[in-house]
Amino acid sequence: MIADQSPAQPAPTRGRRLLAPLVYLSLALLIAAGGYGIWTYTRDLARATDVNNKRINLAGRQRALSQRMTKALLAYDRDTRAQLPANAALGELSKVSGTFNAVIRGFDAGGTVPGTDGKEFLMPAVTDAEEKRIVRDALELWLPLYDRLQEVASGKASAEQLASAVDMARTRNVPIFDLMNDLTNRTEVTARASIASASTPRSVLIAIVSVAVFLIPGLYLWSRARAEGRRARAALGSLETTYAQLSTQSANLATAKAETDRIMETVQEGLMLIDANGIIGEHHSRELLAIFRQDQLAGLSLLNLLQRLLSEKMFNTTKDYFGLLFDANRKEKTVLKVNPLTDIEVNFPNPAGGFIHRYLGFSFRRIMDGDRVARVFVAVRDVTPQIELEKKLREAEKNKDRQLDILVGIVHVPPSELESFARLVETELDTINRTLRAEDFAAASTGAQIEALRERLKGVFRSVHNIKGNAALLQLSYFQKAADAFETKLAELLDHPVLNGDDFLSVVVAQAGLRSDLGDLQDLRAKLGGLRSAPAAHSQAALAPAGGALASQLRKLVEDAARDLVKSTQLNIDDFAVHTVAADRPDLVRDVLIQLARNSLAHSVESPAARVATGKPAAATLTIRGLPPTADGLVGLAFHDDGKGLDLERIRARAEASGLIAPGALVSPDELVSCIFEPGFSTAAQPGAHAGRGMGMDIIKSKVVDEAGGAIEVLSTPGRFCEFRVYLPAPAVAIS
Amino acid sequence: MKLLIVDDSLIMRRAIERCVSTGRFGEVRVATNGRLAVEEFARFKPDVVTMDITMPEMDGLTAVERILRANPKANILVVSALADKATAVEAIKRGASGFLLKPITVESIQAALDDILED
Repeated sequence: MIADQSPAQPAPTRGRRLLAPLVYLSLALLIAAGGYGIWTYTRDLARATDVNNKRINLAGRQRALSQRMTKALLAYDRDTRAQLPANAALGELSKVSGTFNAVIRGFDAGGTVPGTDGKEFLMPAVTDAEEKRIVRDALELWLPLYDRLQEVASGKASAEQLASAVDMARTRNVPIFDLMNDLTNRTEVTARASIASASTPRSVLIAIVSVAVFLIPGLYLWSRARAEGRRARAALGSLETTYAQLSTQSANLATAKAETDRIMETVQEGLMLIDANGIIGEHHSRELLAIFRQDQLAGLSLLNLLQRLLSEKMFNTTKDYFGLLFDANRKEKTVLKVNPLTDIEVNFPNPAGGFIHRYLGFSFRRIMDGDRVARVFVAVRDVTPQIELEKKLREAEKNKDRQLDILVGIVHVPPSELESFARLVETELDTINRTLRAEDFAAASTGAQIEALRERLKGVFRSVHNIKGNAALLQLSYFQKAADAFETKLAELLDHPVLNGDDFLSVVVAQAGLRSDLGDLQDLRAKLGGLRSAPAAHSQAALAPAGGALASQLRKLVEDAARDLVKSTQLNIDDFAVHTVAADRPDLVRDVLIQLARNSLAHSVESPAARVATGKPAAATLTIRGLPPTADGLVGLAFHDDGKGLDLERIRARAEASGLIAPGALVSPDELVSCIFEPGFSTAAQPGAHAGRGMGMDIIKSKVVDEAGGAIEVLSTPGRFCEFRVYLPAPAVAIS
Repeated sequence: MKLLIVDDSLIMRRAIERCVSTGRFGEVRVATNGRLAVEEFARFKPDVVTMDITMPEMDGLTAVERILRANPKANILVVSALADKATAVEAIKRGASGFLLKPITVESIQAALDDILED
C-alpha cells in the first residue's frame, strides 16, 4: 500500500513562532523611539543654532555699538564745545549705550535683550569659561564707562564730567572693541561645538533608525528565504521519501506482476475478470486462449463467445445468470449455488470440418467495490476428461449390470441350449447384417424401391422376433427385452410412409447392441462352462433328448407367458412326436412351436373369467401332438388350443384396413385365414412382449414353407378351438 | 417463526414438514397451489416459504413473482424436482432466495433454510 505521503517537515517550535513578531515589534518600537529622538534632536539643534546665531550676531553688534557710542560721545562733545545743538548725538548715545549695556549683561547673567532683528531675545548666560572671562573683563571696563555715559546722556553733565567721560571712552574704546571681537569669535567657536555636540547623537539615532528601517524588510526577507529554504528542503526530503517509496512500490509491483504473469502463463486453468458487460479484462491466463481456441480474448465479450458455443436455451440461461452475478441485491452465495455452467457441453467448430465437443466447467466470484459488483472473477477448466471418465464409469456400471442380468439369465439354462441360442442369435444377426448391407438401401425413391426396403425391414423384423421368442423360451429376459426394444424401433420404421438410408441407422445401432450382448453372452458362457464340470456339460449336451428339453422349455415359456397375460393354461406335449419331427432341425421346430405357443396365448386363449363364463374350465388346454405322415412323405405336428379360435371378423377388418382385401369383397374363410401369415399382420389391439407385432405367423410361414419346404394348415371353430398343423419333410434320421 | 409450505403433493408437504419440525418454526401452514399460496401469504405473513414449481392453477414461479410484488422482503425457497439448471437460474431471477432440488433431505432443507435466514 502507499504510505502516508505528508512530508517529514520539522514543525517550527512555539517559541520560534513567537520570536519573529517580537523582533518586528521591537524594531518598530525602536524606529518610533529613534524617530522621536531624531525629531527632538533636530528641533533642539535648530533652536541651539538659532540662539547661537543670534548670540554671534549680538556679539558682533556689540563691536559696532562700542564704536557708535564713542562716535556719538565725541560728536556730542564737539557740538557742545561748538555751541551747536547736540540732541541727536545725545539721543544716539543714550540708545546705543543702553542696548550695549543690556546685551553685555545678558551675556553675563542671561535675560531679555533687544535682538538684531528688533525683537526681544531671551539671552542665555554664557557657560563657556573663556566667554565668561571675556564678558567679565568687558564688564570691568564697561561698567565705569557706562556710569559716565549715563551722566552725559542725562544732558546735565558738567564740562568736567564730559571731559572725563571722553577720556575714559578714548582709553577703553579699543579694549572693549577687542573684547567684543574676541567674544564674537569665541561665540562662533562654542556655537559650532554645541551644534556639533547636538548633531552627533542625532546622527547616531538616524543611523540606528535607518538600520532598523532596513532591518525589518531585510529580516522579513531573510526569514522568508529561510522558511522557503526549509520548505524546499522539506519538500525535497519528502520528494525523496516518496520517490524511495514509489521505487520500492514499483519494484514490489514489478515483482508481483512478474509473479502474476508467471502464474497466468503457467496455471492450467482459464482465469479472467469480466465487467458488467461481460467484457474480458486485459490480464487473463494463457490457458484461457487454449480453452476457447482463440488467439486473443482481452476486450472480447465472454457472452458473445459463449453464444457461439452454447445451445440457444443454455445461452439465454447464461445471460440471465450473468445478470444475477452482477446484481448486488442478490446474495452471492445463492447465486453461486445455481451456477448453470459447472459442466456445460460446448461445440467448437473443427477447422477440419464438423465440431469438437468439449465440456467446460466455470466458477465465479464477485469482486465488490463498495456496494457495487465491479468485476466478476471467472475460472474455467476443460472438464472433458472428467466428464468422459464419469460417462465411462456410468457405462461400465451399466455394462456390469447388463452382464449380471445376462449372467443371472443364463445360469439356469443348460449349456447346449445356450449354445443353440447363441448360434441362433448369431445366424439371425448375420441375416440382419446381410439385409442391411444391401446396396439398394442407400437411396430409394420410387414406390417399388421403398416397398423393397419395407420387405427387407420385415425380414429383419422376423429375425428379431425369432430371437425374442427363443429368448422367452429360455427365459433369457435380458435378450427378450433387448429384442423387444429392437422390434419397437422396427415397428416405428415400418409405419413411416417413406424410408431413407438414415432411418436404418437406428436399426444398425440396435443390431450392433444386440451383437455386443451376444458377445457378452458368449464370454459369460465360456466362463460359466469353465465353472461347470466339463464332462457333465458334455454328457448333458450329448444325452439331452432334443424333444424332452424342448418340451420342458415350451412348458416354461407357456407358463411365463400365461402368467404375464393373466391366463391359465395346461400344456400337453407328445415328446416322442416332437423329438421325431425335430430330429434334424431342432432349431426350426423350436422356433415354430415358440411362435405358435405365443400366438395361441396372445390371441386364442381367453382370460379365466371369460372361459368360465362360456362354460369352459378356467385353465386352457394346449396340446402338441404328432400327425400321421402324409402321402407325400411329410411329417407333422399339431398345435391345438381350446380357446376362442380365430376371430374371422377381426381378421377381415384388419385385412381390409391394411389393404390385403378390398372392403366388402367376398372372400372365403380360408382366404381370410391366409391373411394372418402376411408380414405385419396382427389383430392384437396393443403390441406386447408376447405378441401383437404381427410377425409370429410370418416367421412360421417363412420357416416352414419357404425354408423347409413344408406346409401349414389351420383349423378353427370360433369360440371352441384353434389348431395349427405344421408339415415338414421327413427328417433324414427318421428315414434312415 | 412461521413457515408456509406450498406443494400440491401431500407426500411432499408432509416430507418438508417432517424435515423442518425441529422447533425452529412455531407455526406451519400449507397451500396446495400458487394462487392459494399468494392468498395465504397475505394472511399468514410467514418468515419463509417453500415453493414447489409444477402445481395446478398457478405455478410456483408465478406465485414467487406475485408474492414478491406485494412483499419485496419475502424469503422464498423454491423446491423443485426439475433438475434443469435453467429452472434454478429462472427461480433466482424471479426473486427466489434459494433453490433446492428434490428429493429433499433433512440436511439439504435445513442448510437451505439456514442460508436464507442467516441475514
